[in-house]
Amino acid sequence: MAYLTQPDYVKYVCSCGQLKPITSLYFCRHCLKIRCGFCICHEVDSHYCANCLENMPSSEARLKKNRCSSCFDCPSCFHTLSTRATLAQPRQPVADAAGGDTKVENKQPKKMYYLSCFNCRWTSRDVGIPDQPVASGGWPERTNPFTTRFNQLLDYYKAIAQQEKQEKLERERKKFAIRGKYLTLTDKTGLTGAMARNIAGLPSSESGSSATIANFTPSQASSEVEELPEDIFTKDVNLKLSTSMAQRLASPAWQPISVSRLHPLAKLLSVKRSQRCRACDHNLTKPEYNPGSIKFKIELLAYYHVPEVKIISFESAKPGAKSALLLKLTNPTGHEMRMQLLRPEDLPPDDKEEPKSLDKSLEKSLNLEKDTSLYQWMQRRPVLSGPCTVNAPSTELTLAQRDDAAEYDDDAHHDAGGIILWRKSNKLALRLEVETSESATPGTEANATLALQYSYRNTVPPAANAQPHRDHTLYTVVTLQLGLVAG
Amino acid sequence: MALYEGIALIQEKQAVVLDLGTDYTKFGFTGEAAPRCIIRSEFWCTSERRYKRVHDYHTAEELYDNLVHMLHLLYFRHVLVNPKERKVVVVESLLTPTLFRETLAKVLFTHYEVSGVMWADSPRLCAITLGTPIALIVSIGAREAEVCAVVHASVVLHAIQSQPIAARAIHDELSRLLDEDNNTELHLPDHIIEDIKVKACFVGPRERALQWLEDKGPTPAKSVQYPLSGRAPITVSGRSRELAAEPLFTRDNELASLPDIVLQCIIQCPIDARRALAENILVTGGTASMLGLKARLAHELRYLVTQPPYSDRLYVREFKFHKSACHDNVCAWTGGALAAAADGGARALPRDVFTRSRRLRDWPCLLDNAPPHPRPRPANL
Amino acid sequence: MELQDTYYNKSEYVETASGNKVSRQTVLCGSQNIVLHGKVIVQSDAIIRGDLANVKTGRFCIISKGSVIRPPFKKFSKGVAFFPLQMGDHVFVGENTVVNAAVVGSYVYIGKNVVIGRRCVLKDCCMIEDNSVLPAETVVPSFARYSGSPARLITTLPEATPDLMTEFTKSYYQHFLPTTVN
Repeated sequence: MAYLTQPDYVKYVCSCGQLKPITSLYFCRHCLKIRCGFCICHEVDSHYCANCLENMPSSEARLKKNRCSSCFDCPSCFHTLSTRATLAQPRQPVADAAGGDTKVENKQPKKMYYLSCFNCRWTSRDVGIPDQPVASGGWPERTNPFTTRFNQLLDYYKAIAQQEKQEKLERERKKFAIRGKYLTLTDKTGLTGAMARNIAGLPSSESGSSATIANFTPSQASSEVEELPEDIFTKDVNLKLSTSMAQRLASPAWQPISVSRLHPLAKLLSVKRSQRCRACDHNLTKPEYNPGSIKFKIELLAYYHVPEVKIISFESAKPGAKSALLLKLTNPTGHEMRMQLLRPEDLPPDDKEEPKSLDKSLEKSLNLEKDTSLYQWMQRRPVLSGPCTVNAPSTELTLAQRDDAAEYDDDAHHDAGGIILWRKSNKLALRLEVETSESATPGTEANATLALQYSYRNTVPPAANAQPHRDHTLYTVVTLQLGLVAG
Repeated sequence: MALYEGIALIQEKQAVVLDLGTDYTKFGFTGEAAPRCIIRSEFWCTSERRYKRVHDYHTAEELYDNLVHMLHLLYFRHVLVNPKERKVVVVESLLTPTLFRETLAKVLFTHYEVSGVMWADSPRLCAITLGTPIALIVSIGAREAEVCAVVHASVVLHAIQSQPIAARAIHDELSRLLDEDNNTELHLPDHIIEDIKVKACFVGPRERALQWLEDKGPTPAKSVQYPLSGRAPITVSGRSRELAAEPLFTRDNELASLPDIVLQCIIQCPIDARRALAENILVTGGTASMLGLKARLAHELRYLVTQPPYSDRLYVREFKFHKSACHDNVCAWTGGALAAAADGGARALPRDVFTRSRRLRDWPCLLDNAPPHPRPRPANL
Repeated sequence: MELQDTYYNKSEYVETASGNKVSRQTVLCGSQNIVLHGKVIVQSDAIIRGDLANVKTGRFCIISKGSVIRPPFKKFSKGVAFFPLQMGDHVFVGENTVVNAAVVGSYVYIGKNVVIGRRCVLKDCCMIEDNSVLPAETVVPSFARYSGSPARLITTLPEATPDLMTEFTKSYYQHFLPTTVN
């Protein structure tokens, strides 16, 4: 969690060139590349309400305009409204709104419910919405005042589009009067729209649509315009009676101007997202369906596959001097990892294409629509220059696999001498030297770049015909933020 | 059964309509009367730990990143649909910078892999919501007021007028007036200024505006105390309430006030359309809902047209105004929802076409606005 | 950045067999109703109101200085009833924070100077930033990051949050060391 509360001291270079902390990166096991939220494809997986944590099938969500049917937001402060119960005598309006739960001694008390906001104390009674006899749902719904006109316009334009299409079709038909011997799809079923109408003895669709067109009345302009209300120069303004922009726009269909027109907002649903690698279309994360669950069916995070670099401490960098840097490396995988620190200049050039297996290239050629060259726009050139350089040792380091039981033997293994400070199961601490260039100006950010070469054992079961190529040597580049250059 | 499957394949996913304004973004589905959300055009920037506006950019890459984040917010937080293989209707001004359009196209086609984008200009979409053949669209948005004449579904391009007299100008004037009211430099954040404008300000009639210019102004409207959190309340005088929108109507030698540009637009239109244009004015945009603005504009137009330089060039004396079929601030969006629902998005630029050509049609480009079939050159020349 | 060591005065803290480290300068009312499930740190001046209702925490929870853990109440027609407060594993509660929640899930980070209103439900894996106020009866869904007053969703948390939170609370526990000088 230190990752979430601290600035990102260590950033990894994603394959798309973005600099991100390891927690927001993914690792595609099929491409063996680091991906980030920017260069992967997000998909809506399931809809749920964040308040009542009920799942809603996406077809139902579409029908309900992505809004929960039982939870409401406050139209005034947008906090979730709570349902409050009162006991009311039938056929007698409840006088005291404040005495929420106090029991009224009565022969036949009836439970009535209203909505109340615990943040700003707005209640559904403020705007005159009658109390409801059931706890959830049943709240009066408003209709958009513009819907009728909108539907008229929509029918009109649909009719025009239909007519245009018909005319175009007619023209085509005249052009190719001689039919080929192949039947078109509509001929096979023998049911074109016009034919069906003919059979049924209805007027042809053309005249039908033109009726819609003829009946349509365009908007009428008038020389009268809404004038200012008479009393605006004499009346006191009460700021509390008019709504703010946010309150208006929270209900785009109504946009109430006066607070007396505010209406509870049905709560917008939330979605669980699954994420997919753009290059190979494999899923990187896929959440479980249950909205309360925090587990994932697929979870290919860089945090579980790429060695983690963490700064333990560092001496502040001085221009032209050497300073010490303590790093912690962690192997999160279940396999032993060999690792070497490199300078970013020593990285092998990346541009050589990976040897493609036959079926992969075949897949590519079949999938013509997928033009990867478009993704160049997503590519970023990361800024990797900094005044500091880390003197990378030439020794190869070996990190044991992750072992959950190892946390119980907690004495760290101290290595005498060398650059390794201590080892503890899958972690090790390194003492490194940082050189700062002479020309670094004090007060600027002391950034250093470091490259890692590590072995990675792929646990994806290989395809039947492919040769088992399971151990890979991968590279990654990290940038370290080492405070400011000291004066 | 085969036919049924065929229909299922043909049936399009409901397209989305995107109106990415400077201040507010409208987003929703085609065929619906109102957008699903109207939110500020800004997103939470994790690396900078603040809300970042989409229109704050210096480079094309920064804009690309901003748009990616904004669309992510819209698709996955508000409208909750997969962007992939779904068409988008982009509502844009005719004066949108080319960089913005092209970057938006790249983001939509490559990043969100939408199946097609219909680029639609806002004046024509506004005209669609009226259903009249001729309309004069006065759209007062966040940054600029644009006046466009739409004659038989085409925009009279050479007559487009645009001036930076919109919400921003009102905000600047209001904050200046408030500083005067309170005798200090208040440095109020933009959202507070907007809130004061929305709750307290109105546009006074023409006669009063003239009286304010004299030494002794008219009796001002009531002043109001506006509470601020953590500070003493500030006074909003009746004068500020009334005069905040005055920059829209202030005339100078440039003749760049709102009524002026409306008249200039009419003058530059074909002579046979002018009367019809003047009788089919639609005032839209968020600022148009300001109390009294439309009335003031009508009065100013009726007065100015009798004055030089218009009196001897424009023989139009009647101005008529339309009531829009939706809220003022979503007019162009509603037009987009209508247009795309009517023809099922047939006019959209498909993804594969964009992938091949990698360019957008645009009216200032000669590749697109030249006549389709050039006349053959006479042989004897 | 690796967490730095935090030192405490050995005489001030009581360490139980299950590894709980509880300061003597805390107010634990109704201690028979308080269950700390092991390796929990309760720092000085924290208040846990076990006298109102049961308070249960999971393993590796950190209750920072000056924070108040108080079971929520609900008004009924016949008076007021208090409800037990449950806290999952790997929960961090920042300094001077008041927690009135009904349920706090696992892997939850609550910043400092936060007020969690009564009967809030914080699902697993969520984060409330410093200086936020969560109004009563709010439900915070998983992987949400809330901030402000009233607190609103501002962004989401990474998928690895359970592991990050586990590592954080464990290393906090490991770096919470007694001073060698007595």
